[in-house]
Amino acid sequence: MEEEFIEILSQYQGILHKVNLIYFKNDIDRQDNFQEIVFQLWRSFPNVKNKKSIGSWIYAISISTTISSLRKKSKNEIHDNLPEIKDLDNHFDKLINNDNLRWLIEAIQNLNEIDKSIMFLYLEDKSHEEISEIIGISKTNVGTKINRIKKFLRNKFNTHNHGDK
Amino acid sequence: METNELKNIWIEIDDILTPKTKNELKEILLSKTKRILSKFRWFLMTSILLCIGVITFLIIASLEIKNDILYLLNNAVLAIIIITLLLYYIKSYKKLHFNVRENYNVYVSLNNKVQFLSKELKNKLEITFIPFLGILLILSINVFYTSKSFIGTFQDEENLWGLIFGFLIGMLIAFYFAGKISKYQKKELRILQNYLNELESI
Repeated sequence: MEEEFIEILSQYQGILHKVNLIYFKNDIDRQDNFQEIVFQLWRSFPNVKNKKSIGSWIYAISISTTISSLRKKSKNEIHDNLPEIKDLDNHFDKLINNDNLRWLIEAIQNLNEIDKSIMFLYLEDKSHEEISEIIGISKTNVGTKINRIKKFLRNKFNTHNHGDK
Repeated sequence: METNELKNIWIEIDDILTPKTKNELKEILLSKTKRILSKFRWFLMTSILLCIGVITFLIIASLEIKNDILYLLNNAVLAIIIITLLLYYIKSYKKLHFNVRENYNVYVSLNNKVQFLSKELKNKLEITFIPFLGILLILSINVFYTSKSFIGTFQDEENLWGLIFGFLIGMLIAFYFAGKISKYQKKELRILQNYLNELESI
């Protein structure tokens, strides 16, 4: 079973990396959370295989584990209101050369925890129905929420681009 | 900005991710599982050893003063409370860290955690048992070391004041730590409840 789990994890690990990237701003927190998600996935693995799509299960566990572990990190409790701290040892910061991608990641990082997860799933090309199943809210509410976040991001993007000129 | 423009920007994220090898993933899984299990073993062993220590004392003391029925009754009730608390804490710890719920949805998962923490906070088991446990334990130790009868400890005024003073100090310490734990749990609950409210208000 362990081999099968590792095989699946290896295929879908991108989800874990991306969740960490939008929820945490430094590598240490990301590594801790990566381990925590792997452990939570492993715990529920015997009960979920062959029942639902593995992808949706990994998205749901990754998001709920991350949101739950944020409560243990008091600095994240109010981080929406804090100025962003640039971590010199940030692995991803060094790799992001694309200015628009860097902007998008930072914009998502500044959304609240629930909006982050909805927008993340939207960007991952999940349908409203899939997002509704993973998050546990109605399809209509998913649509409304996505439109609001998109409008917010669009305005920020325009300001960002306008500022560059 | 076109609707798909955000998605087009996002798609490039795959280029900056550094996938871990299967061996690295295996290593992460093993080390995390090992750490969680050793934490549980430490909690379990400490609680059991503490419990065995107190119960051994109660057995020795009861054998020593076997003619004092009230003292034997005191020690028996004390042993029952200690064993009940031990089982309760082990069950509660296992439920928090090892219980596997089959849910695929963020709302259900957060709701389960909120309900579990609320139940823990509402449960006044410790608050009910701490003073009772303290009185019984202090009486048991006092009778054993002063070689007075169970009733005799209440008749000696000096001894009685010592008992009351010791009991109050013990209670202050116990409630200080119980308060600390409860404050931490309340903070956790408040944060999770906020996330849940946010989901409900969408």
